[in-house]
Amino acid sequence: MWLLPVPDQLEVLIVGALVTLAVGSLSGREWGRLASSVTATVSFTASLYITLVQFLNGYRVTFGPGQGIPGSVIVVDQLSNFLSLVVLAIFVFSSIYSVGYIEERHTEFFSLLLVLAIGMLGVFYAGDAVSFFIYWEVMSLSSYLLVAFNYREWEAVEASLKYLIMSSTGSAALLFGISLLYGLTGDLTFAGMRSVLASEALARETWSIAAFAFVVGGLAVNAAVAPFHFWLPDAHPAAPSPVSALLSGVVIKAGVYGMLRLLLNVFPLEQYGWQLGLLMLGLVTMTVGNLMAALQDDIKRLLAFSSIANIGYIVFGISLGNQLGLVGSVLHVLNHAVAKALLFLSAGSFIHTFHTRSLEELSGAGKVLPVTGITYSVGALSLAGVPGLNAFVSEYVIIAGALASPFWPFAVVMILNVLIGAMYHLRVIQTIFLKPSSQKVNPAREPGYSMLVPMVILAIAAIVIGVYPAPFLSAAEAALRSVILVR
Amino acid sequence: MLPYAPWIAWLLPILGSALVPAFFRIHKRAGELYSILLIAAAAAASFSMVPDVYGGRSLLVSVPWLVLPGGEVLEFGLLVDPLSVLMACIATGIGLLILVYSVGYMAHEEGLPRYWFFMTFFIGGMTLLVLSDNLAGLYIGWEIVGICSYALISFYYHRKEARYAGIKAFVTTRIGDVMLFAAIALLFAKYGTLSVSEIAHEVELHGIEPQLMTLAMLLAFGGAMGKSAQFPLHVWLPDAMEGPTPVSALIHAATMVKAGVYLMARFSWTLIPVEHLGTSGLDQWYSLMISIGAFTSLFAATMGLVMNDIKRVVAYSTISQLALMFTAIGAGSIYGWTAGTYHLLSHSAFKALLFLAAGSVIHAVGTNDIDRMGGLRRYMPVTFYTALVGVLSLSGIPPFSGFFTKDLIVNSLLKGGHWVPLALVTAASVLTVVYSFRWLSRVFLGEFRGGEVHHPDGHGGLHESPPVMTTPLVVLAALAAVIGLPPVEEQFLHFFGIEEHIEVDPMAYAVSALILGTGLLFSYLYFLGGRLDPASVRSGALRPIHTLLVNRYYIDAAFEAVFVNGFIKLASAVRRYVEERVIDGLNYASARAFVYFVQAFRYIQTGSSNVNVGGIAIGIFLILIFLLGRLLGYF
Repeated sequence: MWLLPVPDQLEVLIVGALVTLAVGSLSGREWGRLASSVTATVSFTASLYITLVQFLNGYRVTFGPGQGIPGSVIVVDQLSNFLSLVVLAIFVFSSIYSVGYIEERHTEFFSLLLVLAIGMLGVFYAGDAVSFFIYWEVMSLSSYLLVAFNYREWEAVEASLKYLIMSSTGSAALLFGISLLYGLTGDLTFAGMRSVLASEALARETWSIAAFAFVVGGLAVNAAVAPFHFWLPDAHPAAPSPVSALLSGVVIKAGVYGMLRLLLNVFPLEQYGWQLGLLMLGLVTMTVGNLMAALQDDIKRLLAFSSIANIGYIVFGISLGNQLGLVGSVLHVLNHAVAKALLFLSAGSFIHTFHTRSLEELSGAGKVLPVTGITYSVGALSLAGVPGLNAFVSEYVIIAGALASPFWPFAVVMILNVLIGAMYHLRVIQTIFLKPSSQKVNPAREPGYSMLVPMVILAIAAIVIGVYPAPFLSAAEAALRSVILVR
Repeated sequence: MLPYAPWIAWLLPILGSALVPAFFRIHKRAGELYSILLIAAAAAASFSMVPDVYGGRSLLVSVPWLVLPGGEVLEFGLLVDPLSVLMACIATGIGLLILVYSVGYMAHEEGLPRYWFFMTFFIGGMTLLVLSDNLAGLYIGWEIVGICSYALISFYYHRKEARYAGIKAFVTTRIGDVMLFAAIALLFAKYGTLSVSEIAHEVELHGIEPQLMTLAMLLAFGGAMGKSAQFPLHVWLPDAMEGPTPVSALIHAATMVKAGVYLMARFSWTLIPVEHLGTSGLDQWYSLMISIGAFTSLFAATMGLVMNDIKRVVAYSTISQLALMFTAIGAGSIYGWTAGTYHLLSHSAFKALLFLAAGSVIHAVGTNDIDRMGGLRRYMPVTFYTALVGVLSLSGIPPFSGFFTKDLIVNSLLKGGHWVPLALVTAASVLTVVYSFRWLSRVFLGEFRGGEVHHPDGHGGLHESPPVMTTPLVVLAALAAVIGLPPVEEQFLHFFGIEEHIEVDPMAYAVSALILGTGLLFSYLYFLGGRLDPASVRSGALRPIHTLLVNRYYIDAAFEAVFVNGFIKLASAVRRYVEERVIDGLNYASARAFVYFVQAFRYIQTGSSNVNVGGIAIGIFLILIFLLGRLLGYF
């Protein structure tokens, strides 16, 4: 907090966004590319470093009204820092990757990336409903623009417009829910709402239930929980691949964060009994996501549906309400972010080289681009639940949590879903490695280092977390403890 | 101890091996140098642990590996005690010598990155196996050495025999692996931990449960039988000689085949404290070990008598000597235990020596057939004299190491009153003397019977191997010569913290004298003195026995007929009647049903914004209904 009354990591990003915009506009076309990408990457890295230091030190701070922006409360705790770490790490890799992938309007692109990150971190650090909503809209608006980045293509414009309509509906629901909450509790801070809502009488009030439905519904649109998910398979594939990696890897986790924060912190389980309802949403989401992904031919659309399925696992884990389920969910936020970013970046490398998203036309692509093929396979095997890779750990912990809960029969549904997931992920690996090359797959060189390095690092991260999960599990546990203790 | 020595000793070779092909990309010499430095560092780490454990001290190094939420911590522990350090030193020390030797031996081979990768990876796996306190870690090491053994036996993969031998070794040892896995699972189910020292602690507190422990130990012995090639799972080791000779020396003489012996020694050292050996209620385990051991020692030695492949003779001898170690440990006393581990040490030196000498001969002559050797003493003096040390040590001639260690084994059998095993071991040792000298005389003495010798590297004629190969021979010969001497023995016992002096029964010396007398008499009659013609055995009264032995008691053929061909017949029947008709039918039907279902299901994703916003509305509505239902008490 040097210039602006916000946490340091957020401030770095805000300054970075302004500098990127200024530097990029002032320098010419060639230099603009370099300058904007460097300032953006440096801002992300600096912000990541600050957050990491805070996380390791167990930093926790609240800026009340009067200290920060007037009327705004900012809370930095382990949960928000854990999610910021995940988000910023993926941003760093996506921004490095974009240097090779994005071919035009770099200043615009990298500034938008920074604004997206500002929105996301703001959501994580918001301590009151109004700042939460404002940052939420910052995040959403920059997402629309990024989806429509290739505005000359009809698909991108249509997807972005659809995303705008659907997401606005969600935001409207969220805002309506917040206004109801304000009306009920007379307070805008989450802490204040909690203390009022914890009382028995208010929870019985019909309007408080309506507020709950609208707030959770609004968050569920962002998180793409079925039946709020319809926009995602259109919006994510239409964006440039590094943006898809961000949208699928981390942006939908803002909704998950909102649920974690509000469900664990604002709407007490004892009064609202949301457990069974959320569980059903989780099960429906994972089933819909996996079934829709099963037969996709568009590689990015397949990955987008797989994201819905993974949100289903996370929501399922949260709904269990026990420690294993919650820790598994928080860790799965990290693991899915790593694996899905890895998959979208690798898919982007295929698309960048062969100019097609059709799996049929990508047959044999892995033999031509072995590094990309291997990194893609690491991500796919991870999400397929192969032991030794990261997603297995969190999926296993969630299933263990389910088995330890009263809802243990539903663990079967999740196990079956992981199996369907394995089925289509293995189908892609088989297509890119074992099938004879299609006509579109001509001899080609691997993409440049700016694209390869993020992919390889993410693949290594997937393996490291899978083999040595202890520190990551305890980090997830620490993140969670900061929320549960408050309650 | 060097800092982090217990970790460096195994982690460095395992991780470092991944870079071996990269260094070979730079230059062949860079790759070789890198591999050797890697193992030298591991060896330095291993040897640096010796002072820390001297006198039987042990320490447990562990890190949390997997923290399950809720505080349950799975530890990954390393047990640094005399036994594990001894084994680690053998694996890395002899491994280092053999790697140096490989520089010369493998100089003209194709596929060197593969060879060096698997050799360094193997040494890492072996060190992990012996240092791990965690049975899961031990099992991982157990599998790493298994896969490396497979890959290195099949190193000359363009030869059918090599591929076949690799598969045979892998599948045969796998039978043992499964049993070991079952033993580990059993121990885990009972004690809820995989740590050997924690199980030992439990046993110490609550006493042993003879039935469960016997079952677990019998299963673990099954694993040991596979890895250490004991009857009836011995069939893979002679065929494993298809691999390059340094591989045979490292994996099939000095280290991996000792894993089974190590396992038995580990369990009967750590799980059951020394003073309870023999009175622990695990008699069945010990009697099975001593019976299989004593039988295999004689059984393998008989086949060693008639083999004509320079390496197979040594291979059968290895089976026989490993069996001696099991016999000694199976004697179930502190005498037997020390004799077994001591013989393990001396055998590692002299058997690696014999294999490397055989390799040196093969390198010069270009064949494995001892009928086409002879008279090599004149051309290869260093190889001859070092091989002589190996032979003297193997046949147990004082003052070479084999004499002392075998004497201790005989002594332990005498003290325990195990007369039948003693008789079998005595007969086996007599045969050992005979086949050792047969091997020596056929290879090095007499006249050369091989005709013209052509070398792939151009220079013709018989010649001594280069110094890079003879130096390891000399070092190993020196070790084989001194390891058994009484001062070393004293140090060895002190190293394990055994303070009592082991009295050797005078009878043991008598038995040794009997062994040497008989063995040397036959050797003189048939080979050294030439009084009787060895070829006469192939005709006359002994002919059926000779045929039986050359065909390895028809065991390999029987296994082939029953397990390999029988399995193929069964499998093709299953495939024709079950797989293709029933399972495939079901699979296709369910796959088609799934596809139809998903195709119908996909209609919910319309892409129309009206429908999609409707979905949101319905979702919010459903949440409301659900919560109101709860409020009104319907759920």
